[in-house]
Amino acid sequence: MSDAVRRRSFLTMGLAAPALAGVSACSGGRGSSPGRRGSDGRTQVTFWSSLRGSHEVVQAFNESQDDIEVVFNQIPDGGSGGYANIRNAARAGNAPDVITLEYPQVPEFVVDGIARDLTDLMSDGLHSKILPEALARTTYEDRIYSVPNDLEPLVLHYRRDLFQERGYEVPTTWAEFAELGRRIRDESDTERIANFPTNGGTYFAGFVQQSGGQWFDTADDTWHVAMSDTGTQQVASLWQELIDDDVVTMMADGEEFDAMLSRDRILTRTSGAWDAGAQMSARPGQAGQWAIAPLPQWEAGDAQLGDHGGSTFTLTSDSREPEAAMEFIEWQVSHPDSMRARLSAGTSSMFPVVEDLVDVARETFDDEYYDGQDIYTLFSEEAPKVRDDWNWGPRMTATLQLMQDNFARVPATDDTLLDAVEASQAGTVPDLRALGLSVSESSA
Amino acid sequence: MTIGPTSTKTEPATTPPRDDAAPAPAARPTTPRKPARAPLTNRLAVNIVIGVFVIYTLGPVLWLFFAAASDADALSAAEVFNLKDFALWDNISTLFTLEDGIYGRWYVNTIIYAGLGGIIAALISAACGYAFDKYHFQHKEKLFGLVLLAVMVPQTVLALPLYLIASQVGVVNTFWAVFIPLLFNPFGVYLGRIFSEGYVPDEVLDAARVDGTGELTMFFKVSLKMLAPGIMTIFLFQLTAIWNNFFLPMVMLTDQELFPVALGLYNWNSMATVSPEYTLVVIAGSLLGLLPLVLAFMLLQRFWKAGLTAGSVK
Amino acid sequence: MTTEVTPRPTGRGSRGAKQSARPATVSSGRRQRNRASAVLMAPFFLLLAMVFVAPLLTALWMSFFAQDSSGLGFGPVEQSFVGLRSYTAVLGDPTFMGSLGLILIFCLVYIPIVTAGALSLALLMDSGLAKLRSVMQMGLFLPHAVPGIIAAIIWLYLYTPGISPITEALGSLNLEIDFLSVNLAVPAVVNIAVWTSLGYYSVIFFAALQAIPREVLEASRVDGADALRTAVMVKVPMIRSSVVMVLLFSTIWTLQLFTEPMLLSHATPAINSRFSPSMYIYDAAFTRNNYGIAAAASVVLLVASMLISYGLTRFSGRLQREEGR
Repeated sequence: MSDAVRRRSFLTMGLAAPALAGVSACSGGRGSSPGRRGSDGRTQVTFWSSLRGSHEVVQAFNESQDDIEVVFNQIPDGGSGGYANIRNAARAGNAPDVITLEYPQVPEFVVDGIARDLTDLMSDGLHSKILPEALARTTYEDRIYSVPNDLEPLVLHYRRDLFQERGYEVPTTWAEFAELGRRIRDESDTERIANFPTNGGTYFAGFVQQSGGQWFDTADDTWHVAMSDTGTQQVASLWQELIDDDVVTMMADGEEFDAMLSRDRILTRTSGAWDAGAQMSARPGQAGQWAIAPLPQWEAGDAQLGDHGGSTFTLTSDSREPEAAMEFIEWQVSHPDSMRARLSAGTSSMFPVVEDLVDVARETFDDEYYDGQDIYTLFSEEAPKVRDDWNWGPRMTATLQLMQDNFARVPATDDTLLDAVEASQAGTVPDLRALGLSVSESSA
Repeated sequence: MTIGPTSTKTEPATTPPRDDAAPAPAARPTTPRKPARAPLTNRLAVNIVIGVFVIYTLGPVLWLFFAAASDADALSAAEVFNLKDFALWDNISTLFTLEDGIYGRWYVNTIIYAGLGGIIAALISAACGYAFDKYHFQHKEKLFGLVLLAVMVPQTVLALPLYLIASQVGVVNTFWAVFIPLLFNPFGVYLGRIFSEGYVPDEVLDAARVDGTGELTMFFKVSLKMLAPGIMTIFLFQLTAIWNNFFLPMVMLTDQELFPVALGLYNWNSMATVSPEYTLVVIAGSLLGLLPLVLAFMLLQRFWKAGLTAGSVK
Repeated sequence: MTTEVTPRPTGRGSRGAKQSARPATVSSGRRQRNRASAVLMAPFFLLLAMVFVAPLLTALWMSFFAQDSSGLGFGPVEQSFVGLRSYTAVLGDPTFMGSLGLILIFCLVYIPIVTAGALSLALLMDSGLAKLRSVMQMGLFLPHAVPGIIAAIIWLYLYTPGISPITEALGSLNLEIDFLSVNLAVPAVVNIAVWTSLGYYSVIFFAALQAIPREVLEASRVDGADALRTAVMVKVPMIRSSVVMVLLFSTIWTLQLFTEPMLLSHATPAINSRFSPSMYIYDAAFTRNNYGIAAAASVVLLVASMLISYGLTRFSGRLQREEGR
């Protein structure tokens, strides 16, 4: 229980425990005594998530057995206040047992003492079922802090119709991508190959993963922060050139960008596997016009990728029913019925980390939008290429936010993408130092 | 009304009282000084400049009114001023029905936080200011210095520790977490001291003492009545401050039911970036949200004007 | 702290009257007065202790102590004295220094603009040439009655292309201006600040101008000074104390800057979550969960506020001493 006493319970002047117990009678029907029991004697586990289909998954789980009852609470997604909700609840001492974290947020929730060490709670069976590339991303110093649900390799979505019509080859390297981009720019005033999203720090991070960068190395029990390393410089200079040469647009991934996609102005998108389903719901009118290909590599024949999106489940330090909660997590990420329940809530193209579930997903997915393309086979080939040695930093939300704040300055000022990344590092390191972490820093 | 011009002794740094601060606004004849001599062009220029500034200050509020009376189409076409479709009542009824009419709840909350809080804060501050004026005790000026210091401290500096203290006491996300800190009004104490000097003559108190009236009875029976206009001024200041306050509720509250209007509008406005249908509601909510204060200031003009000159004695 | 109340042995001026009662009753009168002042001051000082002194001390304590977990930060934590670590971190954080820089910009841009603007307006209204002065006063004053968040909402829409009649009008003149762009974000916030306070301050100045004795103005007229000269050489010096008060008010406002940029930050990437020191503190405490750095930033802002207000009061003291000569 070393995790139970953590940074967030800061003022330890004595009063805290009884006082906090008083406020904890909040949502989720949580009592103050350990071993909560539902009305029918089942162990209660509380679960907060913003993931779509969670309601259906919980219902299926509750029907599948008689020992555990999961009480679910839908919260907004992380950026819209979901993480803040969890933090507030944890501060008040009434966090739910199970929460959903995206990969970049795992370390910061551990450092803040909200997520707990799961290493000894995870069964060997579950351990062996999960794609190692995914598990590596929630493992720090050989301890596992969260259970991956899906891993989303970056892929290239492209306008199959326009590519065919004009005889464009799908680029397999970034050089080809740039070359095709220039061609598109030269042939049209309004069309561009892609957009560099100013609010897309995670996309940029995905590219950096592919190019071998490592923003937060964890050797020797120290965070070695190097956000403008050679891998990052390679990515930044490619995209900077494309931006400067008006080959790609640079705007926020938002309404204006959506409008450009709908009006056939943007011909490719790079995104995680999950986005294939999102695309179907967002632009039903473009059915049959899109196809998906592997992300371009730096050199032909390379096989390295980054990811974008993807979620994990973890237990909070407050959880009083870790075994039951872990059972629920295991079922959720590995049972076919869980996958079916999730997909019943609507179109999704997430790529599960447990191999058995990939077939379930493939069966359920309606491939008509992609003109019969077997996207799950593509994803299965791409997922193992995802780096297994990439680390997210201990304050990733803030780090990415700073990066995006500074990306937004690039179109309007003389700042470059690399400046933005460096500013992000400069604003992150003091934060880490003030937390008392071991930090070393190197810059370009 | 006369406002304590002799209060400079409360501030060691200042010099003896100056004559120019002595007469209250009303004491000066309000007739223009040199009516006939100024050329027409000067008069015109002066009035045009003032007029332009008034348009600058009033224009946005007028826009808010027209926008609140427009429908979504007119708003997004930037054509609120022609009022083709007068939709004010529709917008207001949407405002009060959206999310189970939570706006009404926020409104009542705000009136309680600001109205009740303002009255209590004004009384507390005035009583303390009065005591500073009328009684002598050791370290008085040092204590008063602490009060003035508190005026200068940005509220945000105290937010995190205040939050942590509140969470220890177990009042985070309750009415009290917002209500109690907002009763603290050091500027009100400062004003209270000045008003006490100006409104409550020592001779009256001495006469009451000779009659054998107790000090506290005297405060409640004699002084409070004389202080009333000053308390009204402090109340107005505090009412505005609490009505404006957005930071403290944002830190302390997660339960929407406890929100004041300011925090509720802020949340809705954040949602408007994703769901544009909130835009009109936010605009209508803003219009209603500023009405009480505007009315208070219009109806109670003489009280806030008293506050204006009182502060400058500092 | 109300228990240490004791009467002062001698009174000055009118205060002397209080001691004029017969000696026999003095001690009981004193006790009564002590009790009364204690009772009257107790509620305020109780609040002061609870919501001012205690948080202030807590902030100080938190800036020197932390619950640390060494290395990567995944292990158990222990409480320790960390000395100036949080302070070096916050002072080495370019985003915090940037937010302090913003305060500096406000001090150099907003405060002069609003003070000079309000003063000119007040002098114009006091010039004897203005019409409808009380109506104009009310109009100028109105924005002060508009809550900060609502002022920010109004201006947000007046800045938003497609909704704003202002950008629309400028557009029809072929002027494409995006008030929410990177380069105009700071002026956009300054404008909201000016709008909110300009009229209020001008009414303060106007009230002070109206209180200038007529003889003084008559005298300068006899000296042959014209209206402008009278305004600058006679009137302005006579309302110095009001000017100092406005400087003080606008400085406090600047140091607290939070509501307006917080609201605008959702609409423009040019205003980030660490735009002003207060936003930085909020972000550090409640988004980044870094209590040490939040506490240290709070103390730094506190010290900066104290220095600025001390400087201002010293300045006003000197002004008044010079005036006294």
